[in-house]
Amino acid sequence: MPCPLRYIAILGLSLLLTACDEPASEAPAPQTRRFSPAVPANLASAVPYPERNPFTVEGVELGRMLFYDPILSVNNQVSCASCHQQGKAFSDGTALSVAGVTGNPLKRHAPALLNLAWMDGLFWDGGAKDIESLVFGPITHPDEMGQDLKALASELQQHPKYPGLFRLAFGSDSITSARIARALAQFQRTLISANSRYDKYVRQEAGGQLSGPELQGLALFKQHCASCHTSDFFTDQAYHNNGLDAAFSAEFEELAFGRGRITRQQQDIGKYKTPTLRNIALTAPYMHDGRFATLDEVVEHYRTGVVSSPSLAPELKQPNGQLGIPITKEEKEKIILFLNTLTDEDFVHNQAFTNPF
Amino acid sequence: MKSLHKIILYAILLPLALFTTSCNDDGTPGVQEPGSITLDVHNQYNSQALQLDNEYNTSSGTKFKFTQLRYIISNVELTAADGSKYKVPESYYVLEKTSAAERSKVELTNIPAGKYTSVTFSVGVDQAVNHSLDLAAGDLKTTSGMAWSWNTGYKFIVAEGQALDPQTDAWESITYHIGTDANYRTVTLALPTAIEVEKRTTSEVMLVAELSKLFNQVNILQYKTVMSGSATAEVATQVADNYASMFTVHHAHSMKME
Repeated sequence: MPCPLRYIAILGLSLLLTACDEPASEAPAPQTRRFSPAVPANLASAVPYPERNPFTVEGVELGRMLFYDPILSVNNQVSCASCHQQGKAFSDGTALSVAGVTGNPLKRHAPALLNLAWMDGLFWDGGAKDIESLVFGPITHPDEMGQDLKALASELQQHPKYPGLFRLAFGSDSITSARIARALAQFQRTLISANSRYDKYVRQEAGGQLSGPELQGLALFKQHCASCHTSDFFTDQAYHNNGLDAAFSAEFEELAFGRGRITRQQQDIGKYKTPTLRNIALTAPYMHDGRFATLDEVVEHYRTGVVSSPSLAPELKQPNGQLGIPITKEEKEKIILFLNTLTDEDFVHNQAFTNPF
Repeated sequence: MKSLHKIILYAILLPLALFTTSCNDDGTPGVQEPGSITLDVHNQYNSQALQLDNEYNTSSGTKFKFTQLRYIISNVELTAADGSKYKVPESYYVLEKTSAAERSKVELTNIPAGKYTSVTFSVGVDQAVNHSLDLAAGDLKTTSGMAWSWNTGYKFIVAEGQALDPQTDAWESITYHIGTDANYRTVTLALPTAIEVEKRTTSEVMLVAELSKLFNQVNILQYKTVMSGSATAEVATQVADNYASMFTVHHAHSMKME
């Protein structure tokens, strides 16, 4: 026999729940599916995220669509992926991109996008304080996507698909720049890379064999490079002047001041954030302005090319007064062999990160 | 079975009881209902209404014209006669005087009834909201042009204009965009007469922003462009100290609506 009590209780509850609602013009908000992206053990135990923007299947999927959709740009021709290509670990292979809406070269090199969830300052100078805030930069920059945020929100609002997708992700089909930013941030936090041959080596997994010279390269790397390129993120998240230039122009609103432009501290002028070395073989050219075309040029810079300036990293001053890192040409070759073991083929082929269109 | 009947009865009656009271919108006698306050900020220069493109003298004698002025007022808090405080939620306002737009009034609604004796607000944006652009609240959600995306945060004040260089007799562009946490300033002003807020009263607080103070002790011909740059950080701090001291209360009053 069916229990009448249950129906009566449900009836009473439903009266309570609907009593003061607006007329039911919208269907109830769909449930989003929360999840935690998987993280390889040598990297971290969980992926951090801001409380206001947890991972949901729907949010990440929306972020992925927005990331690849040129609708984000003012002329509908430039997407995030124009300068952040998966095959290049989400970098672009160009020193200073001309892929923006004006075709004008940008003033800094497009960085690779990976393991961003753990980074606490974004852009080369750390000026963006979180990914949600960062995305407003490229979307609005006149030489990147050149978009007006209000115009973008209303364009997406008119789109046949996006209002429904925002509803799935955020429980409301009202499209705001905050929600655009949050979806893009969710997707970008899932771009996790730690499955290179080196990673399998440290986790003692199948496929984790390093050759003799690669292992010697690893030992040299630990001795000479790891103080800034700290494993296993291969960045210390700090800002250093690595001896590229002797002077820093105040032109273009002190652009060349690097970190000094953000902190307004004299001692930070000429410093940039230590980039990760993961997938470094895929992300040429190198440095904040893409001045070095090859890894050989990069390591040769540390060997013979470091120049002095007031904020030069003390790690690059040897006790004998010489600048740079004291390594032989042979040792340089071995370090480069090791750097090539940081390429993560699973990352650049991961179907969850590919163009959904 | 007896207890089951009781449960059924409560299952019906409890939601019904809630239902009948939860939509009650009538005021309870004896308790005053919330009211509203208009904050009206008059931009002045030497006690006269500020005009764009009008020639002024800065305190150091430089001839200067404003071409646009925008600033953010936030985190408005009211202090009552009994010392209790009420912080207006999501209170972020962009006030502006440009060739395209003018906004000087802010409507503070749903303010708890009471007698208020002082008003506190900040120029700029508090650190939490300043550090995450997607947390934009109030006017920051919809007003463009005040956010810095390359260095996360807001321009607390945008003051642009032209200054006459006496050496060359040429008008030079002056651009002051002041922001960053260090330049966030909080101002508390006592009201000359307390305002009485409740539903059937309109209250107004008229403030004056005396813009002649903005460039006190600043050589705008030497520092024509001041943004968040390192070389001009001290100039920016001086301007922040100046805008912290440029506000006064002209008058405050409450009127009963009949």
